Amino acid sequence: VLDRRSGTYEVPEGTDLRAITSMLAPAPAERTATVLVRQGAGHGLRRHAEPDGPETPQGWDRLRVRYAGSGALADEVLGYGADVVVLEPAEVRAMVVDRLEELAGVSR
Amino acid sequence: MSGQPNRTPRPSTGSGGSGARDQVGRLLALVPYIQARQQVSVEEAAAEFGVKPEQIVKDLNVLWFCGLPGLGMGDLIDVDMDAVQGEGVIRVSNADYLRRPLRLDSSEASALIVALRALRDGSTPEVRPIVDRTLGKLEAAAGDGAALAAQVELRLPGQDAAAAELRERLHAAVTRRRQVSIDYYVPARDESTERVVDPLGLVTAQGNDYLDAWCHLAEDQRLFRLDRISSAEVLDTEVADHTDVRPRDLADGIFRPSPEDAQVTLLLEPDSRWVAEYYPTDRTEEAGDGRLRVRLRAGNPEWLVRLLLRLGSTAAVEEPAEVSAAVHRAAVDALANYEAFGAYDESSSSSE
Repeated sequence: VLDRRSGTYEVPEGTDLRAITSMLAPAPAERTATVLVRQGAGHGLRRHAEPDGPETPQGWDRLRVRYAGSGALADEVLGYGADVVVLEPAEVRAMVVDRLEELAGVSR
Repeated sequence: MSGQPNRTPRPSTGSGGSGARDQVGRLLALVPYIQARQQVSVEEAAAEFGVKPEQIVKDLNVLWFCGLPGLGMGDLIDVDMDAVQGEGVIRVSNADYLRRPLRLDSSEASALIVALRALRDGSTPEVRPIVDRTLGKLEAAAGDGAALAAQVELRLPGQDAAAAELRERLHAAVTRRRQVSIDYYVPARDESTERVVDPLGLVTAQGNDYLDAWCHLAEDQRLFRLDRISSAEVLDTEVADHTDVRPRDLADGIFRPSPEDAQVTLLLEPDSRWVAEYYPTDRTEEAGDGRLRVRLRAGNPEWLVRLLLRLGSTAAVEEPAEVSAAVHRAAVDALANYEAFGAYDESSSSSE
């Protein structure tokens, strides 16, 4: 509802500005994926990851990565090429494999 | 100063001079002052505002030309000039909207409070107490009027305490002319390197803070994005003389492609059109069906391969052929990892 003074308006009853703005903000990174990161690489990913267990192939680090959306994590992982491997969740792993197969021209 | 010397002029009326700025300030205070008292003698008003009575008369002669937009007879402030000349008494009417001294309404107060909170988060230790004092006064004065501000939550990227501390430390190094050893992450090369730099200044561009510095590793002037500096240690060594190095002019943006950088032509599907907005391009042209053909320069071939791996089938390299070959090779290498590690074998064996 426009007020008679230009540039002002009444906030409609029951408006929760906080809820609206947090809807527009990036989703919080609430999920966790397990990845292998080649030693000496994947520095950007390491910045939001933590070590995860010792059973790791030679030359790799096993890390837990917090993420918000599967697509965004797949994008990020793909950028590291052969330096990062998604182990879990299966959904993200499958997404990355599908896109790599497209690029490599492999048909399933 | 005239009249009663025991009266102190109001500080808010400034120097009490006859300049236009002083006069406007005085007029804005004079009207509510008179209205609150029905009528005031010229002498008294002059004493209160710390000016000569003649100045008050001059002010009043301006005042009756003032009013609401429209400036018809009914819109102007009515000053009884006969009473001023005859009895030396001021009466003002038709100025009810100036009854109160200048003050902030709730949205103005809220806007100020929110802005101050934003300043507070990014402020240095010297500035913060000043911001806090102002905020305290404003919040107390606004009372319920500040309720709007309480609905606003500010989150500025990179403005947390750790970032402010880093900025402060680097700022100190710039002023004290001390070298800094930083751990810096370069996403384009996926490298984290330790390097010693001579800090030249802090700059902000496109929403990010940068340290402008002479890098001893690169032996050249470099910009370091503050949120990519994972640690910074100020050294005792004084910086070298860099009077020949000019401060960065960031008017044209941070990234300036060099003519020697390799040129690539990409065909972007609608999902990848953002690339043309995000990176500087030499040329863009519509290619039909919502696709965009872009020519850009890549100083670092690795960066380009990383980008193309992310974009996948939503971008195609038109030239040069080496780039698409490199992307293909990288994808094959990455796929081999999935065959070597984890659950890939089970999922793929069923479809083969």
